[in-house]
Amino acid sequence: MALRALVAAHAQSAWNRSTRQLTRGGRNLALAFIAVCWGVGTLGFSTAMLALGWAAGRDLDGRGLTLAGATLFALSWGLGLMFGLTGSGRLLEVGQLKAYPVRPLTLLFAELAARAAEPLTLGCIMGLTALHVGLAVAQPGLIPRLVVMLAVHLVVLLGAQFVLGELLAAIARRARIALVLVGALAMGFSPRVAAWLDGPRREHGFERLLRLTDSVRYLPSTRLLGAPAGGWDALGRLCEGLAGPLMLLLIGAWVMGREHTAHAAVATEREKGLWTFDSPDAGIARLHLSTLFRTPLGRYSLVAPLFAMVMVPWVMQMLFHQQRASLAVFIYAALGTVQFHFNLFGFDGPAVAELFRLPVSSATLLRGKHLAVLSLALLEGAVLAVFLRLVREESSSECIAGLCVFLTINLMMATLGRFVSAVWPRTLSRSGLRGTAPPLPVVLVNLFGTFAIAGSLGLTHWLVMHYAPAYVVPWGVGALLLGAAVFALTLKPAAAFLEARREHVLLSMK
Amino acid sequence: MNALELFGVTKDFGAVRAVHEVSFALEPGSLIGLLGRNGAGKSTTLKMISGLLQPTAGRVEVLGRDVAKFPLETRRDVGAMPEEMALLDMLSGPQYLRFVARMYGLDTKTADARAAELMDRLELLPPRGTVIADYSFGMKKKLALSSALIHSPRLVVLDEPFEGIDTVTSRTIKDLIALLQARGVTVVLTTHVLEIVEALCPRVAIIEKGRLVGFGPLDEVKRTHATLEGLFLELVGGHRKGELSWL
Repeated sequence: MALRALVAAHAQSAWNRSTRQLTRGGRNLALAFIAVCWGVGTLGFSTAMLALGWAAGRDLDGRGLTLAGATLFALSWGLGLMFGLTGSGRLLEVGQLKAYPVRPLTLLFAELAARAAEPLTLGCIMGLTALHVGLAVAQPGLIPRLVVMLAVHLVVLLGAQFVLGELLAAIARRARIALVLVGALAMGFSPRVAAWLDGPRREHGFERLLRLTDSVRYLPSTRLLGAPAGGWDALGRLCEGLAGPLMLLLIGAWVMGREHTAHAAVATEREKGLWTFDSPDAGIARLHLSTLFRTPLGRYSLVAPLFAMVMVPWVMQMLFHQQRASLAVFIYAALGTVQFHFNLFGFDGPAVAELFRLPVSSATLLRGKHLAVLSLALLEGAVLAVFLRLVREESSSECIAGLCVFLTINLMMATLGRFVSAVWPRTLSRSGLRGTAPPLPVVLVNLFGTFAIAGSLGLTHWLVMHYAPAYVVPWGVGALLLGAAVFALTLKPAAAFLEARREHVLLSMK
Repeated sequence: MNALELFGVTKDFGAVRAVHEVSFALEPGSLIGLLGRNGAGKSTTLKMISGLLQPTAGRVEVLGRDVAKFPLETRRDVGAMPEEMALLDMLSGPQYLRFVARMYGLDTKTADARAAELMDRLELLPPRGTVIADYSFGMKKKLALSSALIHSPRLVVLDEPFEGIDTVTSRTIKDLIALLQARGVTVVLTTHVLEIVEALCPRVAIIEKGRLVGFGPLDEVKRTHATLEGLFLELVGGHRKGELSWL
């Protein structure tokens, strides 16, 4: 009963929220768009999984077992891990349910049910089910085992998302310094590891594939599928297969129980030496920076350049055998800060009323917010440039050009974001990562804006490096000046736009 | 020149009409209690007075200036304490007051002096460095009131100032309101506690379903009804319902 009520309340809230954010027509349009994309994608994916399951099932004594085991593991543990890492945290508002006599396990199952209804996860569930059905069609004798396996894999897919998503949020909140250290250490070693990957001692692709194939047989999914019929070995493998999902459920229930009875820790703030500013712009900027640094997202943005520095050259090395990747690093890192530009009032939430009742114009508000976000971006970009130059030994000209590109992207996105912030404002949680996912229109604007801005910068950079590499710094400076000009020229119309939509922003921030 | 004047103010939220052609005027130094049931349109009216919401029709004038045409000038003259109290809750109390005071153009020294005085007067004594998010409801209320007064406004708008606070704080707020009135500041307050309005406000306005159904000096009101509650119930049509059979 409680489970049904929780899931129904979540579904109703999500439905009402989407109506409120997008209006009724916008919601229906977005739903139709998502339904068509989801239907086509899921149909194709499920058909492919059905065929794969059937093909693998016909050769379970040979390569089929490896193929099925690897796919099952990738779809359950792999995608669960990926969705958990990239997702927006908790779906259920557990904090609001403290007053109700609900068991942690009920809360956990309600959370998992809510996750199962997310379009991507639902698509994966369909694919996983189709894979099991394919295996069952090919091997009807395995149907009882496949039923157990389907349940196991579904729990893993959902549980891994929840547990790992929570873990990530907790790490972002509490271990940011450790993360920076790990990132710095990884960064120091990454050129050597990448060189090893690409060096003379590397294995042939076929050998590596063989080694990988061999290790697939140790995966729990493969062991469960390939277990002999009956006997202690079969029982052992069943226990092995159940251990993962059981562990996820136990940890999940513990997390929910902890949250359900938690009391917030008292936060403190130094009072002296702060809040001295000369102009209203600076005051708004200071307030905004202070808020940003108190959020997991804001704190993560300080670590993000290090991740970009470690990750992007690796990817470039693997794909193109090219480690000189400063531009790619800068573009990747710049895109990470975009969400701050696209929801300037998000962290203020309902307190935006406090800002709006102050005797400051919309232009001042925008200037202050931009000052804060761009200062943060400048700090990130500068750290990135220094580290790329000193640790990865990128050329100075590439670092300077990259920094210019980084700032240009930020300026262009800020230009776009000030309008987006006034049209689709939404409250962001400051204590976790929940609710950070933007609405569909913002995703589309972000996507096309990113494609246009980063794409044109990347293309012109390639042209400059190809035909006149000596001019890469003037090119970067030119791009930055152009970005700054567009930014400055659109401030006045953007302020007028915000002025006209203050009420909309205020009423959206509940 | 009136301190506050509403000319046929109407406010729609989509298909819902929250405030319907409300008009009244207040001279400087007036103190008025704005009464009404939950959802009657009191808070929306106050938000239009403080410039947070724009009227769909009609206009609001504060000290002779149209709020829609002179938003910045109006905000400088108005001190508002909203009911929701969504304060900048990641600042400490003193930081918040200094921030607000500085945004109103006060220098740091004056801001700090006024903040200290207000905190002392309202007995707002949070543990050092605690951020507003961790304040109790009553402390947040006092802080919101302090921020509404720190820039010496000429019109003060208080939405439910007596809700959720202890008797001592209630007494302090009543004293502050009396002081404001004595200094010629115009005060508009809403509350559900009719006894407070009877004790404090020389004038009342009653809103029901967005319409102004009663407005005038309290003495005149009392001439026709023994108590304010009697008049209020008659105007808003509150009827006693039957018992709950299962309780």
